[in-house]
Amino acid sequence: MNHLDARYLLPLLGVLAAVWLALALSVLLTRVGQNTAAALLRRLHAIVLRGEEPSVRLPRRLLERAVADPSTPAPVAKLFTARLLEHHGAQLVREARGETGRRWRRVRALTVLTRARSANAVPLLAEALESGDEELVAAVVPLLGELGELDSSAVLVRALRTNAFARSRVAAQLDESSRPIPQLLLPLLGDGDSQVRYWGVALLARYAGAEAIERELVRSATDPDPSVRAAAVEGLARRRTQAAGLTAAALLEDPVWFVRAHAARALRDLNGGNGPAVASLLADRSWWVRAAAKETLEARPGLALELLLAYLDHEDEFARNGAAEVLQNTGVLDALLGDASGSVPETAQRILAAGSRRLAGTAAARNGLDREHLEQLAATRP
Amino acid sequence: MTVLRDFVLACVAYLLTVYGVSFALSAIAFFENRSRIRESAAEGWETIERSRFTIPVSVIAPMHNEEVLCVAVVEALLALEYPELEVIIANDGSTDSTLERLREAFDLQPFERFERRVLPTKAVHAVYRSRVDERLTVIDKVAGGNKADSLNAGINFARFRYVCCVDGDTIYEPRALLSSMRLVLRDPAHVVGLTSQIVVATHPELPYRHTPGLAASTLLHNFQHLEYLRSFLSARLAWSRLNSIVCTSGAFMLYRRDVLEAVGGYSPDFSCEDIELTFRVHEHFLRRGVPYRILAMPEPVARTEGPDRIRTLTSQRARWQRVMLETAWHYRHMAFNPRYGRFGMISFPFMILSEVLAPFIELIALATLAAAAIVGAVHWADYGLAVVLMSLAIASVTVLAVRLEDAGTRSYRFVDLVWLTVLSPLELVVYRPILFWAHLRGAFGFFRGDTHWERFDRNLREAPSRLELL
Repeated sequence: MNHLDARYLLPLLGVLAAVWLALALSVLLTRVGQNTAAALLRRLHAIVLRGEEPSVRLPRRLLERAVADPSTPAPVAKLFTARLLEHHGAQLVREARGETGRRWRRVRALTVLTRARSANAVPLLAEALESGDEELVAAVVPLLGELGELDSSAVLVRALRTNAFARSRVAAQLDESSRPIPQLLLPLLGDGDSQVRYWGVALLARYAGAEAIERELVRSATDPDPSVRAAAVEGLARRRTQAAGLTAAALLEDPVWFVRAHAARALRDLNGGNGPAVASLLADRSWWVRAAAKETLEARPGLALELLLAYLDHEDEFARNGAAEVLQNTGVLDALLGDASGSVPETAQRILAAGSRRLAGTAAARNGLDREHLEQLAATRP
Repeated sequence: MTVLRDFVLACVAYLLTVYGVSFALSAIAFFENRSRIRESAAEGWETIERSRFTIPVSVIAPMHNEEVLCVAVVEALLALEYPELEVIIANDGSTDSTLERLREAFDLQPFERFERRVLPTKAVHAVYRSRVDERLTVIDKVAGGNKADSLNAGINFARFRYVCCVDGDTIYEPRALLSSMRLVLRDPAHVVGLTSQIVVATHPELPYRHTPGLAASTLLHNFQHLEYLRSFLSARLAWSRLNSIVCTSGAFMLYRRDVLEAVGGYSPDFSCEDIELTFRVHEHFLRRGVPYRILAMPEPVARTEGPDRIRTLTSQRARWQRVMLETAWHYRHMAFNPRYGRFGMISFPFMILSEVLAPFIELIALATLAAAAIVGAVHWADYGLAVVLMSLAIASVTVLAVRLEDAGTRSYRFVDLVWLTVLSPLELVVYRPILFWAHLRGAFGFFRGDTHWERFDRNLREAPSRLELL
């Protein structure tokens, strides 16, 4: 091998040059094609929006793409949908059934039928939902949500039960339904699968204003599954009733931390009493519960002041820190420091000592006071 | 002569393997990209954007001496189109006016907040709340000397289930979070991590349509632009399809918070945190046999400023090479180990072959070719032919990445598309030698035990005015 053999290198060079050239041309020509199609669509939009009928017969793919594109103006999409159904209606239904075996062609056909509000749309979407093809199902769920009818919602509720697709995504579609659907959701509360009950409760929260629904949510607050109990108390917080307040107060002592956190936040939204019970959560073993308690206490500063002052001397450091943080966030500390003419009041000293050096430093920065002095006070309990 | 011939043949075999796998990855990426584009077109975006069931996200951005871009970065993060998010900025002991600029722009007030101290970090001086936007928290902390420490500090303050760790010098697209969380929301039980495409731009604070375009930019930026496209769209997308991605980019790392906590957060012991964390997460799940997914998305989510000087570029790439070697050495037990599945048997070995060993093989190849030319074993004409072959091979993979990008976004001006296509075959002779030098420096740094972290010097330009940003 005196030198590399040109017999092999030259053909290889030819192949690679052809590949590069083909790819480069494909990039540029695809873009030219796209630009041309976009320009054609813009012209057609203008024609349709002027109230005229476009005289040219357009390629089916272009029409389908325009119908599926949410930025297409409604009158244009309507006209294109009508044209597609007129010229390709039977073919679209066959494709929507999956007879061609091509997933994305099926999605396009289902999209056109949905946008046309075709009578076939819901059964065909329901059929596609049961296909087990994850990408097809992912495309079908938003289409069912878009229809927003009782029958399409019923299909989505079925999908929620069977876990045909991510339940949160199915629930998001149901939550947007323009028609009230509590009658479809109520049966979910009796399901054996706790996840189904959870989503039933979470979705019913939207209708918590109705007494019957509230009763069901109160009942779900005693569900054996903690996620259902948490969802129930969160839903009840939307309705400021005595039952909601009592349920939330009871769940403050739930053995599961996230139920306690949800109950504390519910009490914030309910704007009710239970200050001592919420304040006691400042010493909870879970950081998340303590954070929820702080949020609730901050939302009701008047109610909490006396309680919080008592917690400044609590044996638990987390509780002391939490009380100091709430008193800082509600402006009590700044008010005390602002009123002080020279010496720092004892209550402010107690807050600083219950907090931390950092709390003292930030208080000094906010109030233009001597940082070192406040930090010293934070280090010594009065 | 025989030794020389063997060396030349070994180099040819190496190149054939690397290019062959790269082509195969590009082909996989092509199909993955097509699927993602179609899925995206069929997505119910408005529902995700409005829904109370969309999982909230904590966005964490570390900043160290980012006075030029800090305000623009935070504004972009607060403008993310997403139903519920919080933005946590970790000011890592900046010595410039980063904190002052943030304080002024967002009316920051110091307030104590007791964080969950789940990850060890350097001390936090103060926590600031914004009176302009209550979703913004700024943590002012002692300089940790690396990004990992700041990210861990941010995680301690994060309240939401998913944490998106981003760069403090990168401008994010309004739909960055929405487009990435789409796939997480489809399977939150299994998708534990996700990354997406970052674009190199001369003026990241300006949207592409407001810039003079790529053709008017420097060659160095253009080659970085092409390199990023290839890395994100050809390589990461393909590895994502195979669930064996080796690096979730530090500029956009979306992880489930419990996973970050379970693996002990970001490690400050490495020169760079992103690739090492990705390895640790793979190891965590594969050891336990727990199903999981780490995904890459094709959508461009952010624009970042690449170095505009050769010195700063080599410094940045030397650090990247160093961390690659550090990670590969640390996790060497995973390579060729069937216990770690496709990651251990395919993607990690390919990383070793194409990235870790590259500088050494390139050095050997150069020495061999020089020796071969001196003794007359290689004719310069053949040498030139081989260079053209390699240029075309790289260019083909690059142009395919441009094609993937344009199919998804159609954002390039036509003149820029032509420019990128024309530029692609020149990369080997114009840009690669710089990277070769940087990789060698990185390799020597690794053998010296150098683990210091420094970001590249900020490109010399003024902070953008509000008018420009508008």
